[in-house]
Amino acid sequence: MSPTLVIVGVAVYTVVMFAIGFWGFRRSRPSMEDFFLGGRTLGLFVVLCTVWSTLFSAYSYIGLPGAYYRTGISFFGIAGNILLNSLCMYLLGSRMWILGKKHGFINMTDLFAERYGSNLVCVLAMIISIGSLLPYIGLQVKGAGLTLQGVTNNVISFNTGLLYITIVVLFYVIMGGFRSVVWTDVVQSIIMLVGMLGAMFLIADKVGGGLGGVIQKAAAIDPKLVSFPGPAGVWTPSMVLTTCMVVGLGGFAWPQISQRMYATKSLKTIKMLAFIFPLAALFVNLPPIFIGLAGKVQYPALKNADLIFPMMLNELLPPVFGIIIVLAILAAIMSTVSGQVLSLTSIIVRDLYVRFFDPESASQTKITKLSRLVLLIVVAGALAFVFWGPATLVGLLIDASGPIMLQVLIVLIGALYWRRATKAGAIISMIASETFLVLLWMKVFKMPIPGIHNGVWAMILGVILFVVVSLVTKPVDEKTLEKFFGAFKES
Amino acid sequence: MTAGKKVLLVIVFILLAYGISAPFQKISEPIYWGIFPAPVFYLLIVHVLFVAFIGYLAFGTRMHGRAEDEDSFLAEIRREKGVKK
Repeated sequence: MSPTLVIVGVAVYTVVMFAIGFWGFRRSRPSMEDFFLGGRTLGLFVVLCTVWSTLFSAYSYIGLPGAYYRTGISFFGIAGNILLNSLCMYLLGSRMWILGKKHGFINMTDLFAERYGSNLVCVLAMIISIGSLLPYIGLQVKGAGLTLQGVTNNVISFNTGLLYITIVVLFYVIMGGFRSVVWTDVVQSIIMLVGMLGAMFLIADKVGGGLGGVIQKAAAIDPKLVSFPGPAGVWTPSMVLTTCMVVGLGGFAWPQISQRMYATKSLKTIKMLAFIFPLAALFVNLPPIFIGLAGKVQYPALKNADLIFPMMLNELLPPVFGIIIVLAILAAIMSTVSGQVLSLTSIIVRDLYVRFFDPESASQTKITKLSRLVLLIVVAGALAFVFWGPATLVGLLIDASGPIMLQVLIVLIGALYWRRATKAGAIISMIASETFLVLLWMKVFKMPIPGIHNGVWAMILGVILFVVVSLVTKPVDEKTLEKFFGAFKES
Repeated sequence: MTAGKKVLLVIVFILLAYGISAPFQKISEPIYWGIFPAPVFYLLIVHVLFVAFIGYLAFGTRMHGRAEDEDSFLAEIRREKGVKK
């Protein structure tokens, strides 16, 4: 692919992102609700695009085809995680929306502080969220630098690519906050969709003469590629289900996803989102099957399966379409990073600065200015963590981002559906299950039943402790419970 | 919602969750519509059924507590905010 073509494509894309950032700035008002939630006015189409593009990262383009290359269609079992994620959008998102409207919550952690009457629950959830997301942000930005370096044959160096992504994302997030983020997400969703579907049809046509031809040729190479549990025998029913639970449920607890529930304009929007999102997700989950298997047909003995999509991008696709794919990968990275950065900033500003240092006097204008400064610190911290952080810790946090947040989801479910849930239950559940998860990941323990995701074992421990400790400790006072459950008209 | 209906919903959920786990292992044929190997096709059916289940919960039940009166809820919020001012 011609480096000049890539640079021109990226330049045009950058202008569009800057324009949206500037437009968001013109429409913004100096308030925390506006900067972090866009004034709670998102309609269905916009919220669908922003959740879709935020949830699906560059992994969908690089990691998924590689996974199908290795394990055949059996990896499609994991697509079921979206169903559990959408169920959470309705069951938890709808109640979060009600509470957000009534009490002005802007993220999950400030809801915890009020519901459990405990700053410690809030701080723990904040530390877990930051620990789960910070390395992930750094990794994505690093990946973008590598992508630009690779597709331009080093004309754009790794450092320049990394700097470019950082500047573009920071510009539109700092300028327009959430409003710019969601409208760039809309544009990025369209690019991602065109890129994914176009790549599927073009690659399948070149390799197998069509989608069906790819499947037939892959089956001829190895029939296990088109059956479960796949060539390596990994995706047994228990592994499929427990991985879906970890990725789907943990994915909802990611701050950048759960926060979007507060931002919708109506309850009906959330219900429609929960209903439509699993169908929209198929546009990301189905194409990599054909791309990955086409790669297996074309290059059957590749050692690093994650290179399969970039290889086919360079060798099979026309250069002009290759640019769309490059932009789609950048769009996937930027949309995820911008959502993550903004939601982490909201947690730090609202639950660290305002709650502990300036609860009375912080003006909305001052908070908005501070938020822009914290955005810079979050991105710098994410990059520093990935480049200079302890390798084992970084690896753990990136691998276990979903399972880590799954343990927080238990506390969220308790907050929204169980009047008897207490702060002691929440604190002990989070500390114990996260510690147990780390020990399982470090292989200190080996669980007796194989084929069950580590995150689920930790979740089981967390649920048991949450219930038992809540039942034996003093309930949350009736006034607080009424503030929450009265809003659902349950009392 | 009656207790019987709740039990029925839980049973349907368990069946669908079992469906997600791809219980039809080792099946590789036929290839439906010329492009979907049997396991993918069966999972897509489970996917659509699960979406219908979510749709029923969202629009046919009041599990979140306020299915029936969003307008009055928003009006109440506006009134409360007005009073505070």
